[in-house]
Amino acid sequence: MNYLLASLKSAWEMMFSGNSDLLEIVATTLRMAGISSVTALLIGAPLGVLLAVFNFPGKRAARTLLRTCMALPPVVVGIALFIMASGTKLVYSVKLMIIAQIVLITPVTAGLTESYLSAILPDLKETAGGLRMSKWKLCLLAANESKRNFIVVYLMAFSRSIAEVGAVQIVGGNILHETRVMTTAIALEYGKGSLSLAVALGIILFAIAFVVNAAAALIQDRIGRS
Amino acid sequence: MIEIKNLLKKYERKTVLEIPHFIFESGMRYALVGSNGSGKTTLLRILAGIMKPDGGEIIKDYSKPAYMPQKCFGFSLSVTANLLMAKNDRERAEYLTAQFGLERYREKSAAKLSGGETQRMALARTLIVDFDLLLLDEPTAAMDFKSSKTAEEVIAKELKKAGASLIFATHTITQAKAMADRVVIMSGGKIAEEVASGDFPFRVKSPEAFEFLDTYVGFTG
Repeated sequence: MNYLLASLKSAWEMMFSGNSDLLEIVATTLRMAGISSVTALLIGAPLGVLLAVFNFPGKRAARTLLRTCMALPPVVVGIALFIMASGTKLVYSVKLMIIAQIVLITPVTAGLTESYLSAILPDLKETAGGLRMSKWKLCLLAANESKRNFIVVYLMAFSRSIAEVGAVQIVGGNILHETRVMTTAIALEYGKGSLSLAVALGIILFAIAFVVNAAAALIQDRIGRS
Repeated sequence: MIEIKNLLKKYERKTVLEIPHFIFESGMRYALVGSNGSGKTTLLRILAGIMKPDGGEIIKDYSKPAYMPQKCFGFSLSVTANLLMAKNDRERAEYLTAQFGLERYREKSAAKLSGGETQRMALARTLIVDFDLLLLDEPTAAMDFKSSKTAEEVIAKELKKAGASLIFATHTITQAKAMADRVVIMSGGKIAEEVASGDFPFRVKSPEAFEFLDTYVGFTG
């Protein structure tokens, strides 16, 4: 209990002390999670719509592969990207951390979109087919029907990106003022035995995720009302 | 003329539609009646080209079917936008929404309409499309009596304008009599009998048709 109170106190002090190191880490974390989650949504959501709407040979296999990729182990992705990027300027950079996150969360955005659409698509397909609409128009309608769901999908992507540690540790290297993010900082503090500082950073990470989720809920409500 | 030969449809090995031979004449209006699971919806879906049969042949004289499914899906757009998605003709969209008494809902999201309003919007959306065969699955099931009568009148008017044929499924024998030239009684995935809607009360010969009319409707001669 004392531990938790001490951690809360540390978190409170860190947040309002204007600690430049902490601000830098938070900024790097938000940059990495923001860019990667938006990119993954922009790639994955259309992919999910196309996969749901179009029928093609091997569709079942493609869907199984996509769902398997939703569970890609971050450490494996990190190692694979590290090997591919070794010898280039990308190693130990935020850019490679963003790429790793995109690889990890694009299957999530595509899979969740496809999964959501598969529930409403039979009725939508029958209606659109009865009006002799093209498949591309059906894609537009499917995307329109998914717009509230896209917020949920985005949140999943952002949450996974901001909380991920394995891949970013490997490809980023946890370099202070360069590639250190909240999760790698937490892991470092834990490794050093500074448990209260690690928990305090965790609380800040949780607070950031809470603010993003609250903002998304507001947007979702607004879309729902319209 | 639509000629059906040995049409067969199965769901998980169970035969749900089996029509050895039937002809729908051009320009005529047909009502499909029958109890639940008699094959009405399956036949409409196959004629609309939405479902593929497992066997048989359909010789078609139509190229532009328009089909309204039983479960009306309102796209999450305004009522007007729903119609414009089907065909980009604003003038006709305004005309049809007025015909179905939807003027004040034009800018309202179709996802927020009541069941009857959604069905009126779905009918307007189906009628905006160019068609030579109109296929409707229980088109007024969710409407009140007045809206249902209005819808029947609009359908008849638009059908005449288009010079198209009509095949619709209904559970209301009075609607079948009012809207159709011929009534096709279906039972267990088969066409049990076809009668002229003017020959009322219907004098049917097949036991399946008699059972349907007697048990479900109470209209036999």
